Amino acid sequence: MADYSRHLDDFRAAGAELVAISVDDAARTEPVRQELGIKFPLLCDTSREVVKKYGLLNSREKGGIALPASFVIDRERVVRFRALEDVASRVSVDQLLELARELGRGVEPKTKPRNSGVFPGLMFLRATMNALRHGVHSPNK
Amino acid sequence: MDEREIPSVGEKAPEFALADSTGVVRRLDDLIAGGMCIVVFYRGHW
Repeated sequence: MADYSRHLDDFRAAGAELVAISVDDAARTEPVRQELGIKFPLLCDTSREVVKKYGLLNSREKGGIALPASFVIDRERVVRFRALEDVASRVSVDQLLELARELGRGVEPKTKPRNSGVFPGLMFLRATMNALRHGVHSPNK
Repeated sequence: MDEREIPSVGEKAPEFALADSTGVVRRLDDLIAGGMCIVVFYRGHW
């Protein structure tokens, strides 16, 4: 997690904010956030409105949950990068940082991984996201 | 899932304003104001 915070600072230095969205409510999300020491916002889309707007509602599971996906969105609200499902977790922090820095400088990213099946960046999110998925059980305490 | 509904590279991302787990409302427009925002959708508990 120390690693993680360091990377978060790097992203912010490159002008990139970071948020994660699920359909879980705050009561469910906040203890997990604290337990994992996550320093960026975990947004609670309990109405599924945003998940639907992004075309990511998986209605086959538990009344509808988000399909895993990652986006890099620039200040004009244009999507500069997108990774869906499994691809979203096959990524490395160095590559995403490089992408963020290039975008931050107004340079078109050199890497065009849309068809490569390998998303540059976001590897550092994987551990956290896996933990969010598997690591912490519902608070039946 | 219909991938055509998911915003692609070069398209506008839908606006949103959502409360985080501490109750603070976060707007995409504010999050991108400094340059860009990485938005990750995750499954959550199951």
